[in-house]
Amino acid sequence: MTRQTRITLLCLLIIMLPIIVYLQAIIDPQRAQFQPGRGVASVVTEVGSTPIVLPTQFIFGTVIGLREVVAGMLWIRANDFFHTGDYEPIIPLTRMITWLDPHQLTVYSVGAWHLAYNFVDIAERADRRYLIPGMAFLEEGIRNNPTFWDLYFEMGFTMYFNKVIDYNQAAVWLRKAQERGAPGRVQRTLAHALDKAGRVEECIAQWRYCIRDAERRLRKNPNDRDAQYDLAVSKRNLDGVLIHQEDRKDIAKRPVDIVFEAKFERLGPKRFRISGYTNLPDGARIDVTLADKGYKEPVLKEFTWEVDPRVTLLYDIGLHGMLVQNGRFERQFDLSRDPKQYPLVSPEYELALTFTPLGAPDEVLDVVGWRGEAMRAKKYLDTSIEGVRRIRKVIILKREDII
Amino acid sequence: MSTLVIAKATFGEAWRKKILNIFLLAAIGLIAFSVSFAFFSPGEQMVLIKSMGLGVIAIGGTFIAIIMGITLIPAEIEKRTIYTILSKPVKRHEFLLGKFLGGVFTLLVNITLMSVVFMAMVAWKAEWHVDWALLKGILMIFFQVLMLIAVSVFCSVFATPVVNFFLSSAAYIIGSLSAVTMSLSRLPEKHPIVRGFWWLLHYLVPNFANFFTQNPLIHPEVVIKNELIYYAENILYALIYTSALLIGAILLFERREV
Repeated sequence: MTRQTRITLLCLLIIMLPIIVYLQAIIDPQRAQFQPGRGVASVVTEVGSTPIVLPTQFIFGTVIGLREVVAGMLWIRANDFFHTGDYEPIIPLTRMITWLDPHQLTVYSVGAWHLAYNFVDIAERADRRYLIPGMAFLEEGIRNNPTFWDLYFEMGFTMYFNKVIDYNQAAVWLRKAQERGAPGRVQRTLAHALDKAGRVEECIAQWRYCIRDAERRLRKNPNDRDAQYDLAVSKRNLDGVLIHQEDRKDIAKRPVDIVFEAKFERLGPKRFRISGYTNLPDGARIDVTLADKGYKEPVLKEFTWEVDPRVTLLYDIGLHGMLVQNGRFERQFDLSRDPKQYPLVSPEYELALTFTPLGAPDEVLDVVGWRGEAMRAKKYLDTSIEGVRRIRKVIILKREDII
Repeated sequence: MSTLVIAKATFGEAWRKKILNIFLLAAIGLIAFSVSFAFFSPGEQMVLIKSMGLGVIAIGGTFIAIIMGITLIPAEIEKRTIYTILSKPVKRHEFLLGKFLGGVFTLLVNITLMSVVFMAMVAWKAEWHVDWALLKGILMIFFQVLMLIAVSVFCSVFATPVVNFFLSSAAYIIGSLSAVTMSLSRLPEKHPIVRGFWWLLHYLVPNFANFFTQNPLIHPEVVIKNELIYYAENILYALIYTSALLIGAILLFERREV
């Protein structure tokens, strides 16, 4: 090779270097838009105050760009834990998976459901403290996948509809899912949420929307089985709501004086009975909540699965509420076998016994109205939620009353 | 012309190497194995198959590139066949480029074989719907390993195969960790010299992480804005970096005593 060629090649090399740097500088910001895990967060992250580091065997795969593969392997592991009933390690695993690959929708929904439902006491009552982390986990999933309907549905149905029992909030999230192209079953769940929230006109409008949407899909494909099903169910349910609307339109003019009384009895250390009577129709349910006095649900800006070990929360609400039969209701509680879930360290507790018409069965609503319009009561009438009349008795208990 | 003859010979020789064939077979086996995760829902299973398939092709390509790249030149020197070749009217740079092209062609065929199995598996699981978008990921993997084999060939000019194995592997790992090097080069609390060190590392070590495009390929909700431009920039980056390494290798090889 001549000296001239060598110098030419050297010059070429020198020219190439700034081009390489320039290209890298314009590639970097583009890459940051879609590659999960940036910076030193590639192998170490924090959940609340808990640092979590990838298991050693997975670090190599992660650093050489196989994040999604490692996420898949961890999900296989989590699946094994589910099948063997070993629930404890699942949450850290789901955390790792979504940190490695924040677009795993199923992992977010399963992780959130697991937190909200599967940490239970001896009576299989879920630990309410884990509901907030579960919802924070879902919110993180939604932030990472805002255009997909799946996690909005999970938030609306799995959390607010079934667990928090807040049908208004359920409707907010289900509507967001619908706006993002959710299928017919989600649209129908939104109609049910509006029905249970007592928002009858909106519920009727939603059933009509379901019908129009199913018809539109059937025009495209007359053999679409889902659309056929959605159409039939929506028409039937719309008819049902219209009949109830007619039946209940003057219900406020037929007031019912609700009699309600409830008492707390200590049966032994951390064992007690709640019982009472009412003239509410059979099938009504009385929600029971026992919480530290002054307890406010924490607002989690970021997901953490750590819960306050000093907080005591007991929620038997919705379908888990006490059933009214022959004018009476009663349930015994034994918190003695779950000291971790019910630490009972607060000096005072608030025991609330509530009947809410929201979500009550039709035979009850036929008497009290969708939002309790017909309810009158000398004692315990609660109107703290706008437009809803509830019956609510609050008993303040001292620690000694329970332990 | 002599470059192509050497490339062809290198390709033939590479196929006779058992270790490369073992890597290839293991990779194909792993891809086929990924379809056995039948206990997941169809959506999850597809995510796993795609991510695992692309990952296996990447890792298989990486191993083949390093193992082949580190032996391309030193093997000829050790066996003294280089003297016979260079005594003919073959210039040193032609020899080096021929070895490199032979290696690249071997890699191309290996990646193609793995990709065929991978695409077939995905199509089979998707009721024979072929996901052509995955080819973009495979293309990126090819350009990634193209740079890697160029690194190995460059190092093989001055380092022994063992040293070269560690050098190439280190370059690959550091280049894959470029998200870390980038953030370290921008930490304001670090001393400017430290930041400068990370800056140099980030911009001068071949950036293999640019080519990890699996996430948008396995999750439809993740999109690369200006996808075509992104891919074009990366291919240009790989070609320029590979050329730079080859020029460096030629310059060093010209002055090396063999």
